[in-house]
Amino acid sequence: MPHTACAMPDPGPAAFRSSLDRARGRGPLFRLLAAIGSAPMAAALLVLVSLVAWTATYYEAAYGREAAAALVYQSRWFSALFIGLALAVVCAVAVRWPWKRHQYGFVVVHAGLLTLILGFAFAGRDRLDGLLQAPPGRVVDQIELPADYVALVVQPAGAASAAATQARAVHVQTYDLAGYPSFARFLLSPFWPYQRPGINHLAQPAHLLSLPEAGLTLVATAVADTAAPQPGRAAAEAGDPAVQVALRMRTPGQAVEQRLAGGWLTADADGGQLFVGPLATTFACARDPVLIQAFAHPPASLPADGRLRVVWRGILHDLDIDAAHLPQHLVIGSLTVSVEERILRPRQRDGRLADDPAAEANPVLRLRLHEGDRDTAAWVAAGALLPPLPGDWPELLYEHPLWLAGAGSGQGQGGIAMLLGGPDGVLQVRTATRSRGAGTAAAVAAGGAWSGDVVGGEGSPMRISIDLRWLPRSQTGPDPLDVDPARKDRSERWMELALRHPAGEERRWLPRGGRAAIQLGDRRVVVHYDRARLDLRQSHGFAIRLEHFDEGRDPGGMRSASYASDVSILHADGGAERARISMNQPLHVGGATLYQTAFSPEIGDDGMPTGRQVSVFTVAEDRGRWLKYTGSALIVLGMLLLWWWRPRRTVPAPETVL
Amino acid sequence: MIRTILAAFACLAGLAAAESSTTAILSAPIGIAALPVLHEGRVKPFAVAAEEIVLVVAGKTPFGLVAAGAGGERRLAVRVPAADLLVDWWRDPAAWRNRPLVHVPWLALQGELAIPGQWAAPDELGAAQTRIDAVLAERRQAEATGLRRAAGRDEQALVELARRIGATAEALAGRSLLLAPLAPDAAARAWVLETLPPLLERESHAERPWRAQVREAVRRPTANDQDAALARNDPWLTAEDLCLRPDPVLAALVATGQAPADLIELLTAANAWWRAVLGDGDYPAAHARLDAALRARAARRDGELRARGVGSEQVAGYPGPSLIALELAYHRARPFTWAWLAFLAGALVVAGGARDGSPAWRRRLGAGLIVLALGITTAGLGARIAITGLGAVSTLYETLIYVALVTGILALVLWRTLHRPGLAVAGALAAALCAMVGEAIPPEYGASIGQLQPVLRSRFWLWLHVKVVVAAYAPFVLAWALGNLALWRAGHAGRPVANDEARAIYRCLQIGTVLMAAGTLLGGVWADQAWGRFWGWDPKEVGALIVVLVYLVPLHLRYVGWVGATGTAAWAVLGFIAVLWSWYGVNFIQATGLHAYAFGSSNRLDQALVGGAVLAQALLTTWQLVHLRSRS
Repeated sequence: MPHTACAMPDPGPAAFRSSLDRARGRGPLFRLLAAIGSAPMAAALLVLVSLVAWTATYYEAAYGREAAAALVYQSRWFSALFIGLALAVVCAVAVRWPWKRHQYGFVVVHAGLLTLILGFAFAGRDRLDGLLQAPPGRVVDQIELPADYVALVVQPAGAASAAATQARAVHVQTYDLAGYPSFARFLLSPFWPYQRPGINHLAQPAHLLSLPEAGLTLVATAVADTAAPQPGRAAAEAGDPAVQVALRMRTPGQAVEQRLAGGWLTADADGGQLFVGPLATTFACARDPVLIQAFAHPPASLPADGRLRVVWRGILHDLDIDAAHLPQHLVIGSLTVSVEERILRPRQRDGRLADDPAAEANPVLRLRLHEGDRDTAAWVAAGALLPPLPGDWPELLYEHPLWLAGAGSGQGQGGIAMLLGGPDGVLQVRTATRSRGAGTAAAVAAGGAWSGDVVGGEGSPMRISIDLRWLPRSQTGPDPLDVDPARKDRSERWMELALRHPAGEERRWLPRGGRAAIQLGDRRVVVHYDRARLDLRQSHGFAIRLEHFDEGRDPGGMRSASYASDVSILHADGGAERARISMNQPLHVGGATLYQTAFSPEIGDDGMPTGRQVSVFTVAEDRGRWLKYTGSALIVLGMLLLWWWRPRRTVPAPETVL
Repeated sequence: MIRTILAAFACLAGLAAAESSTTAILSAPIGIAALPVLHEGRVKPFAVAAEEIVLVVAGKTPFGLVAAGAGGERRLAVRVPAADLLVDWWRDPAAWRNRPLVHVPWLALQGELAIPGQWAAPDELGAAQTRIDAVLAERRQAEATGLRRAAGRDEQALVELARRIGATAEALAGRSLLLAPLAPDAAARAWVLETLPPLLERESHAERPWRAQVREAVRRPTANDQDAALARNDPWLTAEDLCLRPDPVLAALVATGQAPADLIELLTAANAWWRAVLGDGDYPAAHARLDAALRARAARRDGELRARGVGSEQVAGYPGPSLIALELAYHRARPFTWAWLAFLAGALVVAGGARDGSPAWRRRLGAGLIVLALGITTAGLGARIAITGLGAVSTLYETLIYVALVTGILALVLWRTLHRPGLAVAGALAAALCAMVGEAIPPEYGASIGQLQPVLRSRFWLWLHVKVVVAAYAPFVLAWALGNLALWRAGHAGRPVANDEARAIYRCLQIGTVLMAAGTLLGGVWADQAWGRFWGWDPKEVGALIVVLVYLVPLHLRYVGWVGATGTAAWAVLGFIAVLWSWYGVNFIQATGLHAYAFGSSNRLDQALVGGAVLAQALLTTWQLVHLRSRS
């Protein structure tokens, strides 16, 4: 260690006595305070805060502002870091008492720092910071807060009065539930990559709230953070069968495979059908295993106009269609199935189907079913099952050579994917193209997935592939998007909530903003999941109405140069006043402050932009504001005092490391 | 060491000064440069707008004709001023569609599209369009599913290429430049609303911006709304509409004789002007007539805006002739290139006269050169402030120039107070480096005077917060230069850093820390005023905080003797990495994906350069410290 005995720049270390120096010969408490308030401790804390803050910006870049706020900046350990800093400041100042004039600057700077930290602590978690969306001409008072909200409402049977209703609501932070990594885990991610799940199934359900008097507990069992905005389906203990269909297309010369539309098909009364360009996908469920067998093993050959296959009371009956001699009848005991009409190239015209020579061949049959004094009529297309008819009617399948052997010679484009779910939970898949006939056949087990080409193959210029996911029992749920976490995808938030009651539990997926009603015996329980909101009228005694939004632009330009909102402030006592909120000119009212933050086009009831703008305000109330301002002023003032009252002697320097 | 650095600087200066010979394509008439045109939301001289347009399309100015080299590789063979080039594009757009002019700097795309070099002819880019369409379709699909997805690098390159192809088509057609507001007052708006809709409905060929805006406006449900929407859209007529291929709709309206007289005069003057540009007629007279017609119309527009109460600070008005002349002069003079040359010369002269016994006139001459450089820089920044009417410290380019100015002033002041010429040498070298980097970086970093975001349009805060924070970088730059100098001298002499050198560095760190802390806290107050929160852990805020904290560390450790003279010098050098992070890194390295300002292969190169320089500096300083420890 070099010994330098030369003049050092001010403030001369001789004027300075370190905290540890001052603690020599003092009691253990003083020595502890001196150690906490020492310059090396301060330097260590400064370095630590710098490193943490720097790394946290990467957390924010990877997972977004709200996640970083929830899991880093508002976390207990982050607060502890600043409490440590505040403690070090207090100790450093305290051990120097009584202060001399050249220390006044030092004291003021550190007092300023302390005031600043106090300002943040004072505002704490109660600081109001939300968004207020103001469509033109509408009175608004609900602020969206950066937190989620879960509510439970229990309505006993026959309770007409609100008094009998039990309710409870809590604010919840869902980022850790959604599988966002902790800061410590994030630090390890360069060496041990972290893959954030699209749906995070919690190993231990997270308790949200309880209603002990009703014997109910609400827990979260899973959170989906990257789901499509429109509801999808999720596997469940009970519910309707559903198939998820996604179509991909590649055309020659195209480097990128194009994703065509997709969606969920459910086997409800209308059957599930999806038509995308040249590809039709049909989905139905059969009750009878005999029909499933007939579907899975189509005949090797068929008459020219196809064959109607009817399963009634567990027995298969076939009727070969002769389009030239209609109507035809199939009599099975007391049941009569009549084929009244066949249309080869159907097209919807004036609300009814008619034959159109310009259309592609896609034969359909008009059927009438009759038994005793009841009868019904329906259309069935080749390759499709007759959708389940209300009441006890047979299941039918219309097989046509078009979808079995094709039209030959490459005529016609497009194809069909026929999906049939069975009572055993297996999905039968058959594909066919108009030109070549039958393609792939497959069976997909419950919860399984299947991918294959429908249109295309050797020599074909175009290829359409289909991806299926099969859920024999499903309920509304989140539809996870194909996300790449490295690309910072964000989408809708869903939560799977389990309502625990004495007899068991009920699970439901809810999107943010969704609610579910669950019947428990004679009680009706409503679960509600949404963004946390604050009613400005209740909390601050006013609401606002956007009168006019003004967007200034540079001449001839399309970019915003300024924006401002003219609003009416409607006070709870009935008074009203006008005000203008613009960028850099907020509005102070009722203890809160409104800032012009953003705007978006207003969408009318018809789904089209109305040409007017919805103004978005940040509404904030920070009770620590003046502490922050005072602290800032003290820090700057103290730095100037440090300079002003610096010791002007130059004295020999102490031993230095460098 | 100093000699090596100075030699390197001199070498770079020589390279920059070397002008390549230019051959005119179609020389535009003298005087065309000063024609006021509207481009990117600001009325500016034709020559300035032309350069910005050529830069977007060709990525380089002056640009001109590209020729194939011996190996088929395309290289720029003829360079002409941007104004001449733009006029030639207008004169013969069909020929230019077959000439390489669209900048395609991405190697992967060059290979894929079989372009032998950096430039492609618009007609060669048909294949790219298929891919661009596919990428855009994919994006739309992702958006339709509710997924907000950031693009990968290849995708970004394609989207950027699509933007350039669009900009090229606009430039060749004469649509990039706007000349005159269509409907500046209530009477003219009424005329547009009554007369145009039937013609707009019949119109089927390529959409013009002004027509699209009018169409949007006339779709409003009530007359009042239409009026307001038209005023808000503020449609302007393009050079194509007015001069090159006058719009048939406008021409038809003028032919009815019911159009306002100033519109008729404008169209007539503009037609005559274009004929004069092509050599048919007296250019100065045609120019003066068009200029007068444009100003008459703009005066009506500005009066209308003022009457509506929006022509004030928020929306810039039409500039007077003197402002156009000032901008043109600023643009031609390239003051900051001269400024860094003067800084460099000042540093060389002071260094030459710094030894004991050197004549005093050398130091005085050096000081004079540095003062001259400061004067040029101040004048240049003053011109930018006059042109924008705002603070002129809003882009990386402007901050570099501003830091050069403050560094130069600080160096002179410290030289006067501490009587060490080395301070002036280091300060002037650092200032020269800042201004030179500013001039060398690609124009997308803000060399051209662009538009400001709404939140930045507050003179008060732009001066109070931004100027203070950026001014804080200057003492840190100076401390960095002094630190390097001190460490080098210490290593050379085989002793620790001298205390008087450390004292100067320490002063710089003190000044910088006070300014940085004050500026950051003022930023907190501004953020509280503008956004509703004092501190939001925004990366830029964190960057500033880290700078303060990093420099506070040696200020604390000095007291207990953990950091001495050598340590102060080393900290001034290494701590500068935090400044670079806050200044450059936050915006250009960390800001990937959704928050990216600029991207492209050149940006990666910049990052590699900055990263390499930082690494080299860190290694050098570490080696110097180890070396010093072992020698002592």
